[in-house]
Order: sequence, then C-alpha cells, then structure tokens
Amino acid sequence: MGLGALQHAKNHMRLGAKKRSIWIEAGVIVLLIALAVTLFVQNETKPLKQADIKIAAANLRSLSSDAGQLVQQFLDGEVTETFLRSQASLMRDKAKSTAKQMESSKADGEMELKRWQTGHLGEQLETKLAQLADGTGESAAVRIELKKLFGELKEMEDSLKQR
Amino acid sequence: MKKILEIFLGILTAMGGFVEIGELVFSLNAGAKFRYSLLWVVVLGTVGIIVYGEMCGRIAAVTEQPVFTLIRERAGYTAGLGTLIAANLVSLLTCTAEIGGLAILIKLLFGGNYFLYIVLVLVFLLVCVWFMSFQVIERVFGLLGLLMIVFVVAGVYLTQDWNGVAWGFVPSIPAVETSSDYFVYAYFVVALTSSIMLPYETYFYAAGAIEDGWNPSDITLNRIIVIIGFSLGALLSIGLILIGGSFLKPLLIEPQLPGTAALGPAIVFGKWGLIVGVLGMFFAFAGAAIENALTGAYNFAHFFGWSWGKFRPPKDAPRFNLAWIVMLLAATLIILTGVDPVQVVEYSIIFAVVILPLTYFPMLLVARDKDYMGHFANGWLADIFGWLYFVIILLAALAAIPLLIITHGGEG
Amino acid sequence: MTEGYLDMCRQVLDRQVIDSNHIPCGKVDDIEMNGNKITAILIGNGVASERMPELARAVSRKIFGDRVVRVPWSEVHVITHEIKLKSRAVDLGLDERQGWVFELINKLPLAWKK
Repeated sequence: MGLGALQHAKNHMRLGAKKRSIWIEAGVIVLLIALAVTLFVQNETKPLKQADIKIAAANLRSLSSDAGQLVQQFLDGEVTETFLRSQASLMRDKAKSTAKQMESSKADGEMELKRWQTGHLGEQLETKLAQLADGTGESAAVRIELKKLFGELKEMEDSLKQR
Repeated sequence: MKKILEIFLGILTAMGGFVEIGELVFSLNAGAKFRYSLLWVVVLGTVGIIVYGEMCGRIAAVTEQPVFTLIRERAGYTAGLGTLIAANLVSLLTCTAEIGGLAILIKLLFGGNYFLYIVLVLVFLLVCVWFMSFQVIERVFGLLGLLMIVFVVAGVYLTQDWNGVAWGFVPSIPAVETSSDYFVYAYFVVALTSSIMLPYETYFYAAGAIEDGWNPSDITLNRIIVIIGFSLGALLSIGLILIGGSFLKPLLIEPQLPGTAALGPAIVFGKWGLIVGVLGMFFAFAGAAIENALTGAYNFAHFFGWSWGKFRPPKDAPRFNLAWIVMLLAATLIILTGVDPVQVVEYSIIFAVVILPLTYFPMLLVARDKDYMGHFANGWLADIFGWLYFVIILLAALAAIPLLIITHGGEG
Repeated sequence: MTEGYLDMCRQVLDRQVIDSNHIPCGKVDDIEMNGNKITAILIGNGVASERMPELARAVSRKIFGDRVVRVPWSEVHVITHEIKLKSRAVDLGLDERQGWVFELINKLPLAWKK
C-alpha cells in the first residue's frame, strides 16, 4: 500500500469515480481554453478604438523617425549598406503589418477617418521602406520624404491623445 | 592568483547573463519613453538579483545541491512540478526570442534570408553547447559579451544632462503628457524589474556553482561575484537607458528592433561602433540562449533525479543532454513560425514576473532553513532583503497583468 | 544503516537516490509500507503520477509510461541528504545508460568525452 498520493482519499476511489474525475477536469480545462479563445476573438474583431489607432500611429511615427535616422547615419558613413537594407526590410514588415491592422478593421464614427488616414500613412511609409530595402530609392530623397511622413504621423498621433 | 582568476571569470559570467534581447529592448524603450526617470528601477532590480543570486549560490555551495532538487524536497511533487513547468516555459520562450534576435543580427551584418539564419543559429548553438565544456562556454561568451561595453561608452558620450541622470536614480513620478502614461510608467517599472530578475539567472548560477565544484569555503567568492558581476551587468543596462534617453528620445524613436540599438555606438564610433555593437549583442543573445536551454535541462534533471551535468560525458547523462537539445529544437520551431522575437520576449517577461514569487519563494525558505544550511543560513541582512524583495515581486506579480491590459501591451 | 528516528517525509520522500558508484538513480517517488515499517522505495512515473490530479496523471502516464522500479529497503546503504544504495544502478534497472534516449545520445560524435 502506497504512502503517497498524499491525498489519501484517492486511494479509496473506485475506478469508475476516477474516470469520471478525469472527464470533469478535462472538461474544465476545455471550457477555460474556449473562454480564452472567445475573449481573444472578440477582442480582435471589435471595432478599433481611439487608443488603438493612436498606438498604431505612434508605432509608425517611431518607425519613420528610426528609418530617417538610419538613412542619415548611412549617408554620414556610419552604417554599412547591408545594415541599411536589412534593417529597412525588417522595418518594412512592421509598417506593413500595422497598416494592414488599420485596414482590416472598422472604427466607430469620427474615428473612421483617422483610421483610414493612419492606414494610408502606414502604406506610404511601407513604400519608402521598401525602396530603402531594395536600394531603388535615392537615399537622400527618401530621407526627406521620411521626415515629411514623420511630421504627419506625429500630428496624427497628437490628435488622438486624450488629455 | 588562481582565486583572482576565478573571481574575474565568475564576474564575467554574471555580467554576460545580464543583458539579453528582452532586457535590451526594455532598457532602450525605458530611456526612449521616460528619459532617465527609470534608472532607479535598474538599481532596484539589480539589488534584487544580487540578493537572490547570493542566496542561490550560497545554497549550492553549502548543500551542494541544485535549486530544483531542494524545491521538490520542500514543496513536494505537484507544486514543484508546477514551478518546473512555469520556469521552463519562460526559459523556452526566452530562448526562442534570443534565437530570433540572433538571426536578425546576422541578417543585419550579411543580408540574406532570416529563416535560413535561424537554422544556422540553431546549428551554431548545438555545436557550441555539445563540444564546449561548461567553463569554456561561460568564459567565451562572457568575454565576448564584454563587447557590449561599447553601448555604455556610447551612452555616456551621448549624454549631456548629468543632473537629469542623477535625479533618475531617485524614485519619482515622472512628468507625463497624458494620464495613461502613468500606467505605462508603472508597466515599465514592473517589466524592467522582471527582465533583470529573470529566474533563469539564479537557477543557472546555482547549477554553475555545482558544475564548478563549489563548497562552503566558496561563500565569500560567491558574494564577491554576485555583487560585482551583477553590478557591472547593471552598468550595461544603464548604458542602454542613456542611449534611449539621450539619443532616441529627442528623435522620438521607440525601438522595436534590436538593430536600432546599434545606431547609438554607430553615431559615436562610426562603422566600427556599429559592428562591435552588433557583435556584442550577438554574444550576449547567444549566451542567453545557451543559458536558458541548459537551465531548462538542469531544472528537469534536478527535479526528476536524472544524471546531469556538463562535467559528465554526454553518454553518462543522456536524458539531461537530450533535454537541452530538445529545448533548442523547440525554441527554433517556435521562431520559425515567423513570430516577432521582440514580442515573444515581452510576453515571456510579463509571464515571468507573474510566476516570479513562485520561483523565488522556495529559495528564500531553503536559504533561511537551518536544517539545510546550518550556520550558513540567512543572517539578518539577507533575511530583511530577502523578505523585502519577496514583497516587491509579489506586488509586481499582482500588478503585471492588469497593467498589461490597461496599457494595451505596454504601448499606451 | 543507523537506527533511530527517520522522518519519512522529510528525509526519504522526494530525495535523490544514488547507487554504490554515486550514479544518480532518480528520486524516491513513493514509499512502500507494511503497517508502520518501510519495505521498499518506489521509483518511476507509475507512482510519481499518482501524486497528481486525475487528468494530469492520465496524460503523464500516456506520455511517459507507468514504469515503476521497486527497490527493497534492504538495499539502502546510507541516508545523508541522498539515499545511497548498496548495489549498482544497472543491477537494479535504474541505469540511464539503456533505452532509446541513451542509444540516441550515444550515437552522436564524442559522446564519450567529458
């Protein structure tokens, strides 16, 4: 006779009761997972709120500044070309997914316009970053355009901030 | 003379394990968002990891037993298994993120396919851990991780407002633009503390103590190493916050990619600064990946009583060796799905802070237990700090998830 | 083996078991008793899984099997912070150097080297 399962009651459980208990535990876990999945899906399909759009604008704003600084340092000879292209390519993926996020959902009321605008700016940023990644854009020119986008994104972000 | 070498190498190891991709991104963003006002958190976290690192090392030196052996003895099978699964899940996710970060770094230097580099990184790590002894791994990655010093120098060079920096070490509520930023600040306090006090650092340190054959006479060695080693590691973190606050914040850059970190050394030192920065990150991330894979294996072996240790030929500890190999393989599979490594590590750090009390409490209990430790049990200083930090991490654990939700994943 | 007071829970259960050559043999997963005398220590997932909730036990057994190794109490040599046995691991069926895990690891290059 074993000492421990330190839950002594279990020693006296009959096989039928044990089996039932497995199903109950499994059921509880499945229920919890289903709840988590439901909450997650609900959260994803909800219309975008002001905070969500602001966060997207902030991300894009940060990316545009990051890219601008990257190009500047490349033009100053502080960054290798490979680094420029690879980093731009990674940044482009980020801009792309943020822009997509803006496009895939709707927003409520007056946020609809902001959502569209932010998504549009995201696409423009993505295009510029693609040019940097492929080497098809002229770096100095792209730098200027990135600065412009930065200004627009900063404005967008500020307009969405709650006081 | 030999002791001095041992101290030096031990310090290297403690320093090296300090910075990994999560800690790097959080530190940079801490500076980029809040300038210098999170510097006190680095001190808070560092003292915490010193306190618990010292306890762990002392436990290993006195009992000559590793952490999870004692956790199972103290907490029993089921509770211990719960802790094991939680701790190893965090280590797995951390390892995943490091591998992703490494692949990104290779791509930054050489261009080419990210996914191919993930596989290359896996092979590199497998070869390193399989063929190198514990001591060689510690020393090589510790030494090469020192290249990260370029970030400290760059951070110092880029900083002008030293008055502001000094005030950053005083805990205070920062000036913020919107009220929601208070919550983001709190989130960063919690996340930064967690990234500094990640459990794998203590588990690995204790396992290393046994691999290195420590005994009670090494108690002072242990104290010197944790205090100096982790403090120097904290300097790296401070350097990153300086780069964030002095360089990135004025430009309104909040980095989500490790490559952005290298712009700091690049602007100060030019191309060589960039390359040294990337290499430093490479060895820091690689060291962290290895430490987490091995920690997972150590934890399994210590809990289930398997034969373990890099000091044994692999064939004499087959399950232990298979375990770290599986950790690396699993981490690689996860990162191959294309998840963003920075996102993975952010979530794993929050998960880590939630289970931090669970992973540290048994350590505190054992360190104070005279049955295990004899007269080496916690003195009043270790006790006070041990309990104080336990309360701190308990509060952090409770606040973490609410803060994560309120701040929309830390973004505001 | 010394006579006297032995705290089964604190000094035996969940402790590391090692053989005569100090090779690790697993942990004491359960203790077999006859009345109030210990007759054997039990090692293996078969009994370790008994200590978990039902579902976990079933899953654990499916994945890791329900092997149990019974080590008679007479085998115990010394109890310090570990339980040292009189025989070798391989004689008791507790040596890790058998089975598919060992075969796999042993095939890799330099598996014999420290």
